[in-house]
Amino acid sequence: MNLDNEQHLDEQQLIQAVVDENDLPRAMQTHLVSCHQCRSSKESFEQELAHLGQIAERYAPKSQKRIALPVHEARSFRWTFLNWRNAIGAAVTVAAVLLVFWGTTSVRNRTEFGTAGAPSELMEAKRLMTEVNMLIENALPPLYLEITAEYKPDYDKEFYQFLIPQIET
Amino acid sequence: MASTDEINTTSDTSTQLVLLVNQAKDGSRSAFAQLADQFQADVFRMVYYRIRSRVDAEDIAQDVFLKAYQKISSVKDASRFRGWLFSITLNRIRDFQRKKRFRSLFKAEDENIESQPPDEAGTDQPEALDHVLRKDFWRQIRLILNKLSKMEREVFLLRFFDHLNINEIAGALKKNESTIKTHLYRALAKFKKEPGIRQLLKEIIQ
Repeated sequence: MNLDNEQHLDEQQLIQAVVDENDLPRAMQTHLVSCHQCRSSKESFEQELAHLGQIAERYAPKSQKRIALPVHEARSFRWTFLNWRNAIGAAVTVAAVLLVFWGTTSVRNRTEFGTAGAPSELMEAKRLMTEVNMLIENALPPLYLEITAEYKPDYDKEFYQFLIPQIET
Repeated sequence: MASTDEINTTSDTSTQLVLLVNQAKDGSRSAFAQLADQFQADVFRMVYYRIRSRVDAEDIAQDVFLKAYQKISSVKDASRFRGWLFSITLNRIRDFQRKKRFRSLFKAEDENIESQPPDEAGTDQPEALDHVLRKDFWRQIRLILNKLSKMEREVFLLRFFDHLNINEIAGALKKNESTIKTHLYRALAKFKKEPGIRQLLKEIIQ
């Protein structure tokens, strides 16, 4: 029993004390420490609430299933670091490096092939031009040239005149 | 006042918890399995208090730990693992209740505790009196919780059923501490005006 003239905690203050004793006004906090009646009321209410939780726990069923975790390992720091953004970035970088490498190699190969293959290409071109020139001079095959007497340079104009005389007008 | 031994034991438990969480963050499956063993009952009960179905509570608890397993690397402060896990649990319960409400739109009757078989609430065959008290207890709890607002109910359950402190509740509900205290105060004021549950508590304790 509080013997001095201090006022006891009312119901609202009692509830407030249960929520958080430090939120009470300083005078009430001091009173609560010294007043057996108020402290007893507060502790009784707290005990009631504690029993509520204990009984709920007692009357709740027990889980009959054990928690099953996935078989694979949890994502480690390494996997966290390689999240999808980093993975995409890494893939793009690798692709860019491969592209540059492939491009450089390709250009180099083409250049090397061009230098090495130049004489043979030149020879081929010369051979082709010879053939073309021959065709320009004598377009007919050798067999027809025999018939046309292209191979008989001694057949001159007089000979042809003899064969096909001009008609005199 | 707590004895030195009690303080040392609590400190050891906290240190061990932090150690396990850090190992789990580094990818240790066995460390996470130990965490699951340690918190399975708490998570299961937390779900059960809100949805009152053992089977659903088991499924949701399983989901909670799978989610936690996938996201364990996002835990910044290992000492707050409990609050973080309870926060996942609350989200899962909300998802479940949302789906249940949606399903109930297409059903003639909604499933609730009344429609569950009487032995749903317990695993063992209880004594007759205990069975009656059990049923009465959950009925009274439901009546009280129905008188609280959504937030008052959640704060009340977290504080006195799930045994979270104000700071942990604030973290789990992502609210500041003074908001939590206000809701808790209102919930307690309403609880104090309910003689039924208080009388029942006395009977059960006796």
